[in-house]
Amino acid sequence: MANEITNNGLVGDLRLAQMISAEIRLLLKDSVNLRNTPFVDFVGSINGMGSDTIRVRKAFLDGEDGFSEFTGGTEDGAVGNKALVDGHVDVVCKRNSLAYAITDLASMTGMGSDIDPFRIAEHISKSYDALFAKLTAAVFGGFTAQVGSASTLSVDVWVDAIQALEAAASNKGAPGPYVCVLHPAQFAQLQDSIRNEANTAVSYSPASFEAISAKGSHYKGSYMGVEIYTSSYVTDNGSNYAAAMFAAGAIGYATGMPASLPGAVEAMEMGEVMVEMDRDATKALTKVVGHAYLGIAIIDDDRGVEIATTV
Amino acid sequence: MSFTPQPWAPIQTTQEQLLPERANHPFFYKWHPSNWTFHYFDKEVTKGKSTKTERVGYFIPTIRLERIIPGVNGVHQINGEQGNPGSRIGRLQQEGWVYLDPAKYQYVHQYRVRNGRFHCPKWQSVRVVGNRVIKSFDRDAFLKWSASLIVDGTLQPIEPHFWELESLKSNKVIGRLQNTQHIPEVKQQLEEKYKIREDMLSFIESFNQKGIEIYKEII
Repeated sequence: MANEITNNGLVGDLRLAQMISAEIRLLLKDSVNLRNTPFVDFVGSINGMGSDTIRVRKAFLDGEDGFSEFTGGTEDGAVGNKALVDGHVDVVCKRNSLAYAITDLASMTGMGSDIDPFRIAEHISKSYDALFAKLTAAVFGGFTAQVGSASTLSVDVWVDAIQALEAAASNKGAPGPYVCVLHPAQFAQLQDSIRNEANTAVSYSPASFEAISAKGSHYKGSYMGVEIYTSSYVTDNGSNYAAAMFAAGAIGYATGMPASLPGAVEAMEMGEVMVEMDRDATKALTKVVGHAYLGIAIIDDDRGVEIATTV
Repeated sequence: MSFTPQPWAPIQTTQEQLLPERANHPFFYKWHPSNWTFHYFDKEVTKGKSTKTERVGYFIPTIRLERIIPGVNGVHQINGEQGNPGSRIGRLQQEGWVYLDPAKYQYVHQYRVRNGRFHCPKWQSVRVVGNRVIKSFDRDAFLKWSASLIVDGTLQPIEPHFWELESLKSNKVIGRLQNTQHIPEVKQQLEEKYKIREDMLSFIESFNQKGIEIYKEII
């Protein structure tokens, strides 16, 4: 027998060595953030404000318990003025940009649901969530209060963090509910510790399917009334992670969006990102550039605590 | 017309060796007088003619790292990912933090990576095996440096009140474990916690007698 028709024999002429899939599978991403939750405050837009910085004003109002204490006010004594406690925090917006360039050939050879300038524009706009998650995690090391340190994340450290918030500002206490953003490795440490607990009075409530659908894939449930999110953007200093537990009002962000782009060939406002297309005809190249103006800061240091546990 | 051929040679390319890590921002260290950690060091103790090594606990200042990221905590953008931390440092100092200038203490190491530099503390060693970055941190050396900043007067004030709060925290854990001390593993944990609390209290007592001189024993 000879001249059988085989697949191997046809490759190169009648058959392809590989056929690319119609669909592109997405690699794992980590872009869940707290932007649309009550735990992070929007402090304003810098558009038309005369500065790239928003100054958040703070004052101790509506809770003065001293009245005439130490300021006179006996039956006929003149009462002295009390000093008003005030302060401020600056939230500085910064230009964040992300750019890609794709040739016409790369674009025209696309097949099925593939890469083209518009898909890249969508990718840039959705990447804003990852940027927000990254910058949120970057502020955690700024909280003065700290629990943990030379240990892994345990139930004891968890309770210390809750109690630190409950005793914040000389026991005035930060109002709940609280949220916690942990590094995934810290969450694993916490799970191990919970598993070893003999006391089941406080149990861990894992995230339900509905909760994950609503809050994102990195929502992990709640423990002792504190909502847990994980983020790979939680930083470390080589020996310790810098995660945080905090209440609403602890962290705030400011944004900006260019109102008009004179000279831009094509610009799209995609959520918080301004995406522009730029064309280099001599190179048959389309550039897709996204800009987002964002600043994030600790607004009230008393409302958060850093959870530092070993790497 | 004749042409003289040139010998063929492969194009010489020099590939720069880059660390396979993501670029990150430079940083500075800071310390707040309320941030402490209790850590054990090996100490040589001489009794009579014999010298033996004992594990002795010390309260060590928890020196914390803050990256200089434009747009975060009031850091202004200078150029690209370069930020000016001036106003941030000023604010921290107003709130009681001690700023440890990286230019003065030389604790930042940097490596070239794609799209920038990877900044890490000098106590972190970085190796690459099979394109994977293996990092290890010499915690003991870092903590000894932290202690040396007490001795040279950089970190002030040293307030034992915060150490007492730490020992009170350990009391809570002891109280919780006591409920289940009939379980051998819990009993063992409980004894360890008792030992830590005792060591914390004895350190506070020693500090009250000797002052910051006590830290000279470990640096």
